[in-house]
Amino acid sequence: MAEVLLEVKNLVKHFGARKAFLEPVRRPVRAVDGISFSVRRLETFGLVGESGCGKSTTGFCIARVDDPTAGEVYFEGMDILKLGATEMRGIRRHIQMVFQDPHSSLDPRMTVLKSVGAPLLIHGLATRRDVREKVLRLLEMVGLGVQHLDRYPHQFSGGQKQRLGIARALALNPELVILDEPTSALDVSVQAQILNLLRRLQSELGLSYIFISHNLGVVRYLSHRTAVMHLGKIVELGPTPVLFARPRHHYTRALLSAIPVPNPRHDGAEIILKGDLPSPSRPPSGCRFHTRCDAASALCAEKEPDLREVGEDHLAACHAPL
Amino acid sequence: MNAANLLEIHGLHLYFDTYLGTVRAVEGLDLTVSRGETVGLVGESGCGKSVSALAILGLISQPPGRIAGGKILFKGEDLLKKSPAELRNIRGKYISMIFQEPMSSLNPVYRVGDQMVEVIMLHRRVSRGEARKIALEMLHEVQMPDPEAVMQKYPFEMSGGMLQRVMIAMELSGKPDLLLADEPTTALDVTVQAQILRLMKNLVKKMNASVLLITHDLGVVAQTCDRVAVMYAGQVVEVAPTEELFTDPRHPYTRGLMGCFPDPNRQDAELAAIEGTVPDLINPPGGCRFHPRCPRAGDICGKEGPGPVAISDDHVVHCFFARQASDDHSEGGTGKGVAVLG
Repeated sequence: MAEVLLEVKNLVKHFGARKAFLEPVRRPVRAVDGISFSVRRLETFGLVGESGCGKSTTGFCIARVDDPTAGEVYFEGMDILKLGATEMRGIRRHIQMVFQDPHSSLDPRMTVLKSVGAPLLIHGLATRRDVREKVLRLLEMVGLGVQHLDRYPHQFSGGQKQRLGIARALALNPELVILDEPTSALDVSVQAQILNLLRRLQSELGLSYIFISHNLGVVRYLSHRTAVMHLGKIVELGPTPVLFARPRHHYTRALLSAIPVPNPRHDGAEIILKGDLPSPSRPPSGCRFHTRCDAASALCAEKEPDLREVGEDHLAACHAPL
Repeated sequence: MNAANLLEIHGLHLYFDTYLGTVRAVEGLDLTVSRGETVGLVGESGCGKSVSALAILGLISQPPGRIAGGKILFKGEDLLKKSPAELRNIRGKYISMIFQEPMSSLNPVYRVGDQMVEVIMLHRRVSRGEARKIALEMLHEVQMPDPEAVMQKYPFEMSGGMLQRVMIAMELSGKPDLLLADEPTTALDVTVQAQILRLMKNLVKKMNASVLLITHDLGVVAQTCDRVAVMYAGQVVEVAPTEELFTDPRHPYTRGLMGCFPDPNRQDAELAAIEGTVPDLINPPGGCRFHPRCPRAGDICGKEGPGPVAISDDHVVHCFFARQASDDHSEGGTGKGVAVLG
């Protein structure tokens, strides 16, 4: 088995428990509620789920864009949640992030040279003299050229901006890149270009990815292993081909069957879930999926199922796995 | 006009005058929707699919918009020649529309029930009590749990899926002949999308309404539409019955789009991305608008626009190479439609 690069243990992030000292205690939004997984070197780890399941928050916590409420995140064996701001800066070189919205993740008043060059200058990887050349090399890596160096973000299309976001993330030569819905804001033809680019860069630069998306087709294409999140919990985790071919959790199965297949002879969703996703500030008791699950029994409403091994390298949190 | 056709659009030209120049958003659109039929209008952002729907309802503000030519025949009458008052009577009653963002389509400061009652009273000329009854019935039709309680809620108290149900209930309450659905499930999660699509399909069938479904998702099209029109840069490039489009796509752009969807059976293959980006519609490329990105463009493609080529009775392609195209399915992974079916 490949070497573990990142290990997340019992990560918890609650929002808005108590804002000020005298304010009454509110019911916190339990965005991420105790999840554990590891990312192996050179692997793409997919994190999928519907909106509000906590997948992006997980990404933010690992990159420490947000501070988790509890838990441990080990990067190359070191718990990075215990590090101070200065030490964290050193680690951040190795963990970079690409955001969903390429329009708002670039400063509109900075040229490409400044935006992509900033991390290089901050971390002392380039001097004022050679930064131009180094940025150019990064641009070429993501399929842009010298003519783009002095342009501003508004002069680029969505796909080009996402290329810039990727170039900036790669500037520091990271080991782990957290991709938070990197293609969700893009049109399908451009999405395909970006997915190809991400794949190529991974093998050329030896990157590990955490790929966060609600688009199961894309996750299936890119990820080696996939974790399915539901209301702040991981409900199933396994090798991508196995998980998609034979899901063991009832939620995974419903999620997969809901994807519209571009084939008119396909019958459409066999399993249609009832109702909406419950609120993450009042998750149901026991298994959080039991209110929408066909196979739910009395046990499911009472006891929360643990994430158990159901196959080789394959975990599911269900009292009655498929 | 063919009597079976509920809607016929002929040569619609829709321009927007801006400071940077005229955006030629729709250029010569031809499209028909017959009674009881669901037609998909597919394309990427900016291809003109949404503005075409807005034009049908007379919702393009002029200026900056300008309808520079064409006809939109609904039941044989040209909607472009109607007065605002006549259009108001048609909207919601004969043709209604569901938008992408249910949250911004409803008024945030009125209760859902009151908004529905207002619409129903306007179009069905019934008393308030009667309208309330119809609203409850419609909410029941869209499988809303506890319709009485929903009537009392404000939009912000409800989820996106619930709001989209309200919108569907409201739009279908006038028993329209034609429903325009502009990306109705794009803002929803997949499990909710599946619910809403099935619901729409069943209701529309029950009411024998026609639908023009605008989407960028070929999966949604395959699951819901009878016929599909593919748009690129303001023009329809290919129209075909859904099954034929997926088994035998002829336009290089249609094939390109299909190639962009990851194929579960070919994990390791590169995606057949379409190179380049969508053109600027202020200065669209001459000839075929797709030619700068087209893998098989010849000299002629940059010079003249390709006319319609009929592959079969209802399969029309705007490409000079439409007839030869079926030979090279395997080339560049573009035979995706076939691969997916197998």
